[in-house]
Amino acid sequence: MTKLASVMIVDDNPRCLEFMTLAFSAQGGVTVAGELRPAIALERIRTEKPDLVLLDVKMPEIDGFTVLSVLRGEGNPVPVVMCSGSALQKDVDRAYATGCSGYVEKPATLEDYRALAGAVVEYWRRGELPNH
Amino acid sequence: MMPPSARDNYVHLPRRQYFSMVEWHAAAILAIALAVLLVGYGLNVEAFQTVLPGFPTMKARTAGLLVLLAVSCILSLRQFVWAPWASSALAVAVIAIALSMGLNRTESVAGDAWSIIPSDATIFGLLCGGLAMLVINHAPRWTLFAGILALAAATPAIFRIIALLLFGGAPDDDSPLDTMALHTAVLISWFLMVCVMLHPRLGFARLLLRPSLQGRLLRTMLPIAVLLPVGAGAATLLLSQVIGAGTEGLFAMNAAIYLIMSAVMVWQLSQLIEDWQREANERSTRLSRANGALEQYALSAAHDLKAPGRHVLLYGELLQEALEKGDFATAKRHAKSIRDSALDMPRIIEGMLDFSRSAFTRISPSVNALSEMVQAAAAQNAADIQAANGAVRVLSDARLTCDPTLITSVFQNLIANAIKSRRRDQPLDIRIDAQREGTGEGNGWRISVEDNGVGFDPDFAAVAFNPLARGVHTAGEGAGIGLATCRSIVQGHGGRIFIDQDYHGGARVVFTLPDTPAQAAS
Repeated sequence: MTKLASVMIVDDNPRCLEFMTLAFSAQGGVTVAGELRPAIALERIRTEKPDLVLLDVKMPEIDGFTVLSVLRGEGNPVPVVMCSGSALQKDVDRAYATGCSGYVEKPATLEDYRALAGAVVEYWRRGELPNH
Repeated sequence: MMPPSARDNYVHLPRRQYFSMVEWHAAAILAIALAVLLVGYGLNVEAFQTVLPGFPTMKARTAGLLVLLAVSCILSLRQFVWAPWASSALAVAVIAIALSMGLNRTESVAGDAWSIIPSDATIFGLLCGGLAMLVINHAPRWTLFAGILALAAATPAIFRIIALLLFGGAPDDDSPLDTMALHTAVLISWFLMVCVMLHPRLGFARLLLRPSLQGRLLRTMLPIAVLLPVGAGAATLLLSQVIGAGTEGLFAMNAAIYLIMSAVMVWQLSQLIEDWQREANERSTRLSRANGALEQYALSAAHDLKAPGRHVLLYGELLQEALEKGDFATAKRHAKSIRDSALDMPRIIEGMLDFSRSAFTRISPSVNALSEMVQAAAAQNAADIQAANGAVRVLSDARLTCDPTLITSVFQNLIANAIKSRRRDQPLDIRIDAQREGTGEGNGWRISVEDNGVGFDPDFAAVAFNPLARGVHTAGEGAGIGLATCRSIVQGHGGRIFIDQDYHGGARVVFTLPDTPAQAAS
């Protein structure tokens, strides 16, 4: 069991990735890695073993649901928080059914981004994280 | 007036109005038959018995049975629980009386109007009317049979009207029609064609009078409508020569032939309606599929438009913070990001507009040379092709039946994609080829557009034609809507479009165009 120390953010949109990276880096004490391409992200999650994955839902090539189900199919227990521009109930249901640990809608203000990153880091720091 | 619901709608009339229309016809028949009975026979006014001087009379028994039939029809249209039963009781009475008249032909008593037996054709018409009412009331699955009966019995009556008015009566004195009065023929054919054939329970009218069926209906019905009386007459005449049957025998043969031919006619009608129903079902399936795609597209479009708006706001805040800190280098970077995010919006909207236009435009097909359309498309991308040191080649030309503007924009989109995904280390080479495809009805052209670029990622190829799918190499270079536009144009022509995944020298997009383009999108 380990404490939250590293986060990997997967989002095909470089701007979203930048906001998320900025918000999480501002929390301090957490290593943040970003990846634009979901296929490469899968590889990196396997090798770098981050403590938490923030995963965009809508991506070209492979969408967030597929990345999550591949990870769970491999028995990878890494906590995954899904992140989407619009939280449709059917997407939320599908994400939880696939095995995500949380589902958030992408914030619209910087303050919300920081609050989101703060809440996520705070939450996962308190609890114990599963080992890879 | 309340708008009619689909369920209550008969022939574009509200249910109640349609019911009352048939009811008014029955009431008019009732009034005329009653007038013949009460005025014609009650007050002995000859004009009510014959209509025109010298014409045969409507028999009192006929008038009485027509009254019963009309009341039976009115009752069958009422909503009371007992109404169909009362209607059927009257119909049974009509059938019983008509049968007894047909089987026991007794000599009429002089001076007793009620003793005169109507002609065989009249009895046949009344019998069929009674049977039809019975079927309509109690055998909803057999209403086609009621239609056959009505058609079979109405045709000789209509024939009789024509014979009386144009030829002064039936040419053959022994004919089963010879004593049928003009108004008897009118009332019987009126009752059978309107009160039975257009009866709401028969449901013929609401199907047959649909505007989309009328043209086909006329084409199918006209030859049959001419052949039915002529054919029946000729066949009877021929048979009478061969077997030399008497009047009753001839009439029985004639009636049988009418019944058989009416059955054929109704069978053809039901085929026509079935075909039409199948087409309507296919149309509605296509429509709901298109609606589903549109709904999915609207969701994706809203999602994608939300992102740049949010980014402008966020970078605005970052810019403000950087300026407050006096960090001008960062501020400059954020300002550029605001501009880039804002630029995404018109690009997404433009892509959506293109897609919508292609999905909802009616195609106007004409015969066009492939090379000319490719040339026009290349001319629109000329600057980019030149910058890529590229060339667009047509390997084999073809004459395609298509909408030239729309197909040119397909080539333009595919060429633009090839330019975006080119390899920077070699000159771009775009090859367009056309080959004949299929035999028989599915003839058409198979057109391929291939390049020597980086090609499609296999995973992307599966979703490439989705309106908002983005290839990796196009990230940030557009809404990725071009292939979706191509798909809706090609599908609008009745063709299909796909990525050839067996081609590894770059990208190869293949689409088919049938020789007779279908307006599938409509």
